[in-house]
Amino acid sequence: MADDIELARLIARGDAAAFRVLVDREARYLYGIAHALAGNAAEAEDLVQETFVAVLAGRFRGESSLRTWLVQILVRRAGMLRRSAWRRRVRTSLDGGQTDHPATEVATPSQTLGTEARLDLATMLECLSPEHRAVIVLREVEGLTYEEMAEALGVPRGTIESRLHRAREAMRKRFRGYLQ
Amino acid sequence: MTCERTHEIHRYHDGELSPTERSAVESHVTACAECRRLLAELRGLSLLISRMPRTVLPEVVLRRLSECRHAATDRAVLRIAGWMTAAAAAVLIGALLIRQPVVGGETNHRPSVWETVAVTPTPPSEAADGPNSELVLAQWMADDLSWQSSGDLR
Ligand SMILES: [Zn+2]
Repeated sequence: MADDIELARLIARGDAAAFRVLVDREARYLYGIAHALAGNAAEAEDLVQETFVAVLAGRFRGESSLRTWLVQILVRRAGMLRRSAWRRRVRTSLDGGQTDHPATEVATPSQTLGTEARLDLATMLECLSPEHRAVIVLREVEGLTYEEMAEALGVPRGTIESRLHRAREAMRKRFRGYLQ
Repeated sequence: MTCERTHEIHRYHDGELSPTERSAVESHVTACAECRRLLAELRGLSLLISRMPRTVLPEVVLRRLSECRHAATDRAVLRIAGWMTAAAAAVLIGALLIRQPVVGGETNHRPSVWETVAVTPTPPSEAADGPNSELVLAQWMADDLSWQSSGDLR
């Protein structure tokens, strides 16, 4: 943690070498999350870049590890970008836009006229709200524990659990044909 | 969904239970068809996601990110400019255009007030207090960019 604070301090002072150390250490990890959240390469790159800019601006205070803090910023940025697009598609409920798309079941490969219709992660996550997308990516793709997710997203553990369970519920309904 | 233990099934699947709780869930699952099905589907879902190709960071993107210190701040500026009135944006973009490219990449880069503002994740609708405050912010950012620019030339 002390190393993280020192690294962030050097970066905020304009140390290019320190910045490259950070990028080498965290870019792959952040890009994986960003790509899953955004669903495309261009937006993923923008998200990672904006996340690194926060370090340049000297906003890291060392309350958590630098990685956790970076994930926190990345997920929030991704959520903001997505939320406006999301609102256009789904009428939000009173609980703050956590409603997922109605569970229209997606055809399984065998049902789609002999084509090799491969499901990809971006397609799977499309049906989820930004909040639900984030917990699925952090849990199922990155393997974070409930505690780690709560820290990264800055919400109580109970909220993480209910989001995760509801997100999975939506995905189970929609992709049932793939789960056997 | 009728069984009230479904939340425990998620926790079990996620490895979030103590050994005692795990055994309790295991014996429940043998007796409850609903939870058995849920557990099978959770495993199916995790397996499906784990088999999807992982996104690899392209080398060219890694290089761009390593060199993004200035590009990134400029982009943040442009993004902010997009939220502003035309007058405020003009001040700001003008300042970007006259800024000299950095030689060698090593400068006395000083995080400034506007950069902190620029990367503060506040949606434009909430950030904007009106055209005047935007103009003030733009002038602020422009002044700071000129300072950086003169610093680079030293
Ligand atoms: Zn049960």
